[in-house]
Amino acid sequence: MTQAEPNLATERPVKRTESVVVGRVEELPPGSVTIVPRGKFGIGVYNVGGSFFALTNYCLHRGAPLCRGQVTGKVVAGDGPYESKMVGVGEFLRCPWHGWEFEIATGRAVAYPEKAIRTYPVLVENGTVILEGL
Amino acid sequence: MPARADVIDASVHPLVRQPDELREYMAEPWRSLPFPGPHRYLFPTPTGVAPYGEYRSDARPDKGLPGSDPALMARHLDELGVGTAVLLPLCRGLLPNVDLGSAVCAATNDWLKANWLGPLNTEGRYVGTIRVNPEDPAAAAREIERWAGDPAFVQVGVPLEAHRPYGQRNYTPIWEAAARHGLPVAVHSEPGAGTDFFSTPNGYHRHHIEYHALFPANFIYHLSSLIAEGVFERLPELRFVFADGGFDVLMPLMWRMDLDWPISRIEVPWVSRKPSDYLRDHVRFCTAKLEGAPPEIRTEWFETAGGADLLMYASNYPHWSTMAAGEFFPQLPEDVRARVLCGNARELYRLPEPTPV
Amino acid sequence: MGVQQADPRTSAEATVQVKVVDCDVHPALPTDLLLEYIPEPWRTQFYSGQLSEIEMTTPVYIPPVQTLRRDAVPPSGGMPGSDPAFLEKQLLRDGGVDFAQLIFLQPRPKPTHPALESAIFAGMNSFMADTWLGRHNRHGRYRGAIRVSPYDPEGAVREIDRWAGHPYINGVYVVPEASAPFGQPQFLPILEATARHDLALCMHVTRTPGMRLLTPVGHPSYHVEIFAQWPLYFFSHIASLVFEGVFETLPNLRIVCQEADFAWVPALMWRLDNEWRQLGSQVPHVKRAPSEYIREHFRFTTQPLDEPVPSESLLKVMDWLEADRVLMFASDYPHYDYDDPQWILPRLPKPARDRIMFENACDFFRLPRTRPRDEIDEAR
Repeated sequence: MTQAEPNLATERPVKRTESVVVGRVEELPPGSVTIVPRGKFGIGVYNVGGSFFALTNYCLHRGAPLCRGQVTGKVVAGDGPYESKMVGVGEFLRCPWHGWEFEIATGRAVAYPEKAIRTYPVLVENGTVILEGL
Repeated sequence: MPARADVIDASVHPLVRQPDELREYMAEPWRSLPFPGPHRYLFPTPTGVAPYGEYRSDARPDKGLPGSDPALMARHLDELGVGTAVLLPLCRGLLPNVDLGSAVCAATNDWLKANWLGPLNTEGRYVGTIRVNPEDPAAAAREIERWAGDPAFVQVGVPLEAHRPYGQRNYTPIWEAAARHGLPVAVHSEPGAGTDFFSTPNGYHRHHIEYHALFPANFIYHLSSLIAEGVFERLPELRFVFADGGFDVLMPLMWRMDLDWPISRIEVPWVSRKPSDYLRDHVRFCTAKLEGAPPEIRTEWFETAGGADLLMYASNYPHWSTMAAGEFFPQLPEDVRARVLCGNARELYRLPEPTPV
Repeated sequence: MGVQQADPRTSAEATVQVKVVDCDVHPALPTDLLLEYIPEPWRTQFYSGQLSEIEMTTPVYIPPVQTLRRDAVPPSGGMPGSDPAFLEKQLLRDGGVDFAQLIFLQPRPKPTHPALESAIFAGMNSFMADTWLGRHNRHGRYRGAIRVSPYDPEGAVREIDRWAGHPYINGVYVVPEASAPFGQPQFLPILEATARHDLALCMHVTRTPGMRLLTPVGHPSYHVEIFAQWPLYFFSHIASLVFEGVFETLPNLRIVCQEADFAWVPALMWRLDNEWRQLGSQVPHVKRAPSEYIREHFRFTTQPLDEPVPSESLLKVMDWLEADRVLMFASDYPHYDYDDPQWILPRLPKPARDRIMFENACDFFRLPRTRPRDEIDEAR
């Protein structure tokens, strides 16, 4: 969706969304998850190698508390038969129930890429991590 | 029902005239070694009560074993409504001496060619199966190479009984050879008196009816293995035919495999698709007389289970459970029946369209 | 999970209408807790030394990531299912379960030594009576199945006779990975005792190692394979029990196949019916169609609930099954493939919901339709 060029002569209506401060960057180190009590199930805010992402704490599969799951990598097939390797360590989340893998940055399910967990924008402003789009 | 030129029977079992006829096609020392006869010893089919023996009584020629007389078979196939028949000869079971097992397979192929696929097969009514011994993959691959250029052979055949599931890596040379030549692999239970494991995971059952009801479901051990070990990923051209039936239990068992595939990705990351997604491209089932939902829900079940894509009609002649083409779910729509009676087999085996009579 | 709705069935009344019976729940039983219950001479002979040297820690063929819900680890630590207070909170309070049928998967079977197996199961049964059916069951919401060794029939019958009549014991659990199908004569004394005491025979897969894992074609490599293959243990037992005529001999025998799902049951019923119509003269003692015996004598649990695409296929299977007669809800708490009762409920066909969520189980497991209001209800 493209945004219209700002028309300085008229006011554009702005959609207001709620945002909430999650914490200071140093309180949310890489590899951590913080569950913010917002929405029906909470929202998990992840620091993946210095970048912040947020996912609904509700697995689209069977309703597990998704953000209680392991942060891990994704195992992919290697080059030869029976070879495998792990990639993207720290970038994936495994549901604590049936073990479905999700890419933290996009919420996309690895086994079923057409399915994705709802994500939320996260902003870092002056060292403060802010969860937006609520 | 009159024979329809287009009906393809995906599983017919010719037999030698008498057990030792096979030796005529074997070199020494195999020719002189003892091996089991052509009948199943474990779980004997009772003769004094239904089904009154393993074979249709009218399939016994005056001289010779059931299914050994080409004229009689031809007449019976006509009566069953069959045009083309895929001959799937059975061997002598799992033999501990793997070289003997391979020799029996090779002799079976030579016998089939000479007696059923040669000069007498002028109308091309019959096509054949290359029997191979999965216990010796290198020999099996060589045997496939030996026959692969002969258009009379349209598939490879292995027993349902095995000592390792067919997806495991020891079998790789066999499936590679089959895939290389575009030959499907048919799996069918083997008679004999060999080194079979139990026919169920709980051991032996006492009654023939139990054995007969349960053994076809054993396809799932091979199918789940082929998928989980990535065989269909590595060999996109490979197709398997489960020729003893079992289609009726396929759908619910594959649902289970689908259910635990996501959590299993760490162990089998090469399974790139949901397991049931492999079926249409890689698996077919032969029909069986005693399978399927009751008539009142048969159509709904058949559609839900995807029978139109996966099934191929087979008579299983000359066994007691022989099914005529006309017996296959008459209430299904004609176009669906046509796929099962001929379309799916024609596509799988790359058979020509029938010439108009 | 999720926001708790106001529960219209709880009120100032002293009793509560039962709405959810969970037919498969697994408390954990660490071996050290079991020790004092194991009878002699077995305790001294086998358990004098290091427990880790005799008990199995990790079976083969388990799911590769986790077998238990990671969020079911109690706050105090320990295995999921080991803390009664936490299980109460997660399953009874948050899950809204009224009655829970307990199946202990520890201790593991000892397939090579039936007498030892009998002894450790007897110990487990005593432990269960003292703890989960005793001091942890003040609310009266738990029922349990005792365990017996099918390979020690005399010991099994003694154990069944011993516990029959216990107010909270309503089942006999036998492992379906067996060395012979259960319809065969050597098992009849156990089935007879079970039926005589109006107990339910429970079957639940465990992955006992060794030859019980041997399939007709050898040993599979991966969990995902055997997961698809599990129903074939049940195919075998069901066919055996039907065709050996056990239900003519024991018309009161009730059997539940737990954690085996149910989608395969219609196909098995059709197959056995077709075979019986054709070959039934082999088994003249089998007087009725197999599907009749199956619907009358067997129950199946919802878990693990399949997820076919399209989802309507599952509803069709439930229809073919006559799920309203034979299906019972189970969560399998605290395993990884837990099915939450509130998640399951709307996915069941509306007319069958009550039957599947509690009515069939109340009938089958001899449970009342109401229960006393307790402090867990207050906490919801």
